[in-house]
Amino acid sequence: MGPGIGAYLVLSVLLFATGTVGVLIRRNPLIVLLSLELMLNAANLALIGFARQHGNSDGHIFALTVMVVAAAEAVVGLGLIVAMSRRKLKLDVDQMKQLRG
Amino acid sequence: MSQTINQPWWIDLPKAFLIVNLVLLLFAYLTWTERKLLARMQLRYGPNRVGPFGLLQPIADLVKLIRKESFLPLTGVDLLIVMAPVVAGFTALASFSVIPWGPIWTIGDYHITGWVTDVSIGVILIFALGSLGIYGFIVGGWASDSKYSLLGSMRTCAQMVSYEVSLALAVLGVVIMSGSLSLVDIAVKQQETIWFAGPQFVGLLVFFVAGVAETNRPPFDLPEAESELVAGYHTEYGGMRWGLFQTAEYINMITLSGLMVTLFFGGWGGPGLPGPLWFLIKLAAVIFAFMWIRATLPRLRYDQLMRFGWKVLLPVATLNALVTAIIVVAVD
Amino acid sequence: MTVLLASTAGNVLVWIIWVGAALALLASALAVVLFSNPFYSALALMANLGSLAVLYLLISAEFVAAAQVLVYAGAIVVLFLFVIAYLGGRADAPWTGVPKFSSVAAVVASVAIAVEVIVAVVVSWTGGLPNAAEITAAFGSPREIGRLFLADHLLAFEVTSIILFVAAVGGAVLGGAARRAEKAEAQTPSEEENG
Repeated sequence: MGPGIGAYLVLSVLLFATGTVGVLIRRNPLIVLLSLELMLNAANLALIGFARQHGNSDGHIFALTVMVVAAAEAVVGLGLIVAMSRRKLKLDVDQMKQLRG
Repeated sequence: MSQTINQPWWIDLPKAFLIVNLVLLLFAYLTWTERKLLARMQLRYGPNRVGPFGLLQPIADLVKLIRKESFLPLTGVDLLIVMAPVVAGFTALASFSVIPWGPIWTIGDYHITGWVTDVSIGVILIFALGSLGIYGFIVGGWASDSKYSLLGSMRTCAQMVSYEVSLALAVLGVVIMSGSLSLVDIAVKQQETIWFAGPQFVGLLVFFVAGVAETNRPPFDLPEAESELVAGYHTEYGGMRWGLFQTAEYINMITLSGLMVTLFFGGWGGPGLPGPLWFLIKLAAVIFAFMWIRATLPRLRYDQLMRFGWKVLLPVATLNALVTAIIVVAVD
Repeated sequence: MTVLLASTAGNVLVWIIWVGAALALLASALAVVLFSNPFYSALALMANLGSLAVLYLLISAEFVAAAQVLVYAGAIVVLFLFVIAYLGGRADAPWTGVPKFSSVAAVVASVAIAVEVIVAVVVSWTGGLPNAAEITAAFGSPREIGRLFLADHLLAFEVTSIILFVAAVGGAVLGGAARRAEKAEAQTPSEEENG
């Protein structure tokens, strides 16, 4: 009756690895944030999979909370990027190395 | 659902096909209705040359749009320009699938339900599809590679996202009173007790105003106003591609009116006449209200629009939900 | 016999949808990471979230699927698209020249994580991951989620509302601070020319 929990876990970890590669390789902070969202979604998929495995809806609650936290973090991250561009700084995470300026 | 429904796929699919086509036909003649209605309110005749009473006008418009040149701007992104109105139109049509327009009919061993599908998350599904429809406008505006398009689409989407919040909060009062997110359950509950337009009067007003803003209808249609931003997100669209954006807008209006009928006016309920006929009558009344507002009120400026959405409508909707929750808990 | 055929047909359909959604998931994830234009990456993220919603529906998580589309795809990615449309910049060009040591190390580390977890899953699979539990129709329904939020996990519910409030205030402050800094810079051109 459909694929089992193992398949969903494999999908989740592949998604997580792709997100990690994105966060570590890309220089544009917007794409770094997008890859971060990928990692959060991978965790969500694992949570929902395990919720189904044990027949326990607590995994859904956890996934919804992760979604809320991802939304909050996206807001703050994008606010930072907008502030960066307003100060005419280059949007490049490799160059944002110092705390001042 | 208390009974098990025996509706095989060979009843389901033709019914869905029929509904999609009926909605599209309704859209076509809604353009005729709007032009005639606005004309009469403005003391003129409206289209009356193409066929008796201008009834063939939508067909003439369709032929004209299809025969126009299909151009793509040189520096735009072709794939996204073509897909944007498709996404907008698809989500608009798909949201109509959960709206119930009739009861369950029994023919022999089989049932025919008065809705294309009934999911336990019906209300959220419509909002989710509405949120996806916003993508059609953002992508269309950005991919056209024109400043007017980009500005217009950003304004449109900011407006739609802002009023979506008030829309959802207005619906929250209805959901609290009916105890379910399924549209069929909400309609049935109203037919058993009282139409929610009575107790949820504030919610109805908020829903109507937010609905007019959500579908970019006048007086909230600044992003499309010709004198403001050329034509907003559909500046670089012509012919049937523009026609598809218009289709999406009108079908959004039809879906929102259907939602209003289901949430506040009892769905298909009513004495005497068959269910779908009552639904059509109520739908016509709500759409008449949409068009009446268009003919009457002047357009809102963008900052007035955003201020109204966040500072007036959202607090009212929140208070409505809060008061409803308190009263429902106190009464039980 | 017809019941067997019907259930097999249903099963085949589930597998087809699952494979399609899984392929779309992985392809769009790669697209998010590899596209140079951030707008296309954001659109690929939207496709990713859509395939995730389909997968959630396959595991009977209907409320989370709808919330995923409504909140994630319908609001968060729209927020991203707004910022990218104004600020994105057309190209990132991360592949210029010889791959840096850090990039290679990052890819190797991620692949190592993936391989490790896949091996662990496959080992327990063949060793016997427990079969999926039986679920009632109420599993994943809005009623169940609401009950859990307000009964067992009320603290998490309230804390998430505080988080959202803090994020909203933070976003407003960041936007306001940047605008004040802009105004301050614009009003002191003479000092900058002299100093």
